[in-house]
Amino acid sequence: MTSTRNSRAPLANRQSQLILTTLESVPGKEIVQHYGLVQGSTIRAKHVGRDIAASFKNLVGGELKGYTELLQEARQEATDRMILQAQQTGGANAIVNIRFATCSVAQGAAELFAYGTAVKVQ
Amino acid sequence: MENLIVFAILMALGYGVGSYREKKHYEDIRRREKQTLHVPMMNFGAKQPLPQAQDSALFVGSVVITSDYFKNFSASLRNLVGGRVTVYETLIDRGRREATLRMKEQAIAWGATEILNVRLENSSISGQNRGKGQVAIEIIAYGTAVR
Amino acid sequence: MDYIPTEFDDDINVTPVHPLINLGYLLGTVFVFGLVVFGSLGAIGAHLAAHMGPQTEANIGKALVGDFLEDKAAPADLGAAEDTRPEYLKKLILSFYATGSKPRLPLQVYIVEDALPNAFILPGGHIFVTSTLLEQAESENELAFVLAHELGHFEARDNLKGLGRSLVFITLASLLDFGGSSSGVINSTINLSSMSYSRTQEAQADAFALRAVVQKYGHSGNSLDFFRRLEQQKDLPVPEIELLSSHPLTENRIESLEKFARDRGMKTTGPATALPERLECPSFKPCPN
Repeated sequence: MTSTRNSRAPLANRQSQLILTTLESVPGKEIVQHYGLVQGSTIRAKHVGRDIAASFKNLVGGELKGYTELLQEARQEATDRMILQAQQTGGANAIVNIRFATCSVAQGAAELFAYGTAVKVQ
Repeated sequence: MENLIVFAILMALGYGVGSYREKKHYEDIRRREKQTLHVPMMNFGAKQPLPQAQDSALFVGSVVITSDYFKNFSASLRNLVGGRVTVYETLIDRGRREATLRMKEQAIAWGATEILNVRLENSSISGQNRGKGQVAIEIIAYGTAVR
Repeated sequence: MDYIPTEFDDDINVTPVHPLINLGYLLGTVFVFGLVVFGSLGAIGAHLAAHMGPQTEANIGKALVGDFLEDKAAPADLGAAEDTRPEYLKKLILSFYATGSKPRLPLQVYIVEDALPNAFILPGGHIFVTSTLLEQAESENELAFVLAHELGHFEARDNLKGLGRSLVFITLASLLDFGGSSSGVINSTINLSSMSYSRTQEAQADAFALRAVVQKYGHSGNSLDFFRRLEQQKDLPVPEIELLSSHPLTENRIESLEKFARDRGMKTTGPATALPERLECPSFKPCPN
């Protein structure tokens, strides 16, 4: 268990070992074992500079690129953490039925949450 | 000057009581999670072959959590700096585990062998007070238990 | 399909960092960043203050004073229209100007009820004197020094420099939601703008005041009596303004002013000029109570 804790490799490496899907199963494969729910969450805030920039952007509309990036990064981290939990199960090679949720926790801070079921497929 | 003293007292109170209660809550959560670990929970449903069962029922577990003064202050600073709001991570983590446990314990009391199609959701319910840095979040966990 | 239960580590979804360390890091970052912002805003504020036209200054002053008086409305203010004391104080202040020169804006003097002996100046040449200061003043020399000190801030545009900075602070504070309603914001603007003089600014205003009284009375005797009394009354509740602002400690202030006078060969003793009678009552008439 500790070995997985110490090897927080970048997402790309981990993802290659795990199948992530929003389907209930992995097409062409059969679920042989499951490990229950796995979840990852992170809460992020943007720094005040971005807040100010966003309030100006609010006047004219359009995409808030800074926020898009930030939430993307945060969602990536939530996914990361979910994958870490799946790796702790010791045998999972896929996470099925993945769902994302976003919640604004406090002014300027948003929670990004990802969950799914860790399974072993063959 | 008085404002500073009041602030210091609130911070100390928020930190002292808040972290003590958090510690107790985590101990409680870990104990109950061990007890309920044998019942599987998954978030896929009928597209997988359903387990042999006679009965099914809906179970919902929910919790509304709020933060302490210390966390609020740390978070408001974090709002300037940007990055992970670590003080709220424990808050949400506790809330979600608590909600899940409530659902699970009810289901186990009913005699569940498995809980299927579990969904987790949260929403901020602090309304007008959100602008004042207050946090109130409802977390709900729901799923179908079979026996 | 088998089920294999797993217990997960707690620190996957919770960053393992101690809350106090986290707070320390945040405070440090905000503090350092705040210093940088404060410094650059100070520079901008000083620049703006140096180039602000008298009309702009008068307008800012008007807005601030309106809010301030509304907030401070005391019985004495209501009768202030007929009070002749502000006129006397104004004459006293104007006597510091050499013949032919005058302040860049018409000065206004107000007397406000307050338990603390104090005087301060808002942007736009609005000078406030508390009733307690008038009650406690024992000679014209010491009153003149206090007024000249505020005039020094006015001439150096210190209060304008402070204002620019404090406005930005309040904006930041309201972003952080530390401030309350808008009236609270305006109040803190006034507090900050009347308090946020640096030590250097204070020392320069003192030097200005000392020169002014020496020029007017020919000596600096009795001018510092007010501060000497404050020093003796140390056990009395210290005015908050003295604590929070960077006002030099009274003791050092007297010492350095005396040294300043000696170094320049100013006469440090001389007869005290008497105050007009019944300065503590409106229009110098016998007090109603």
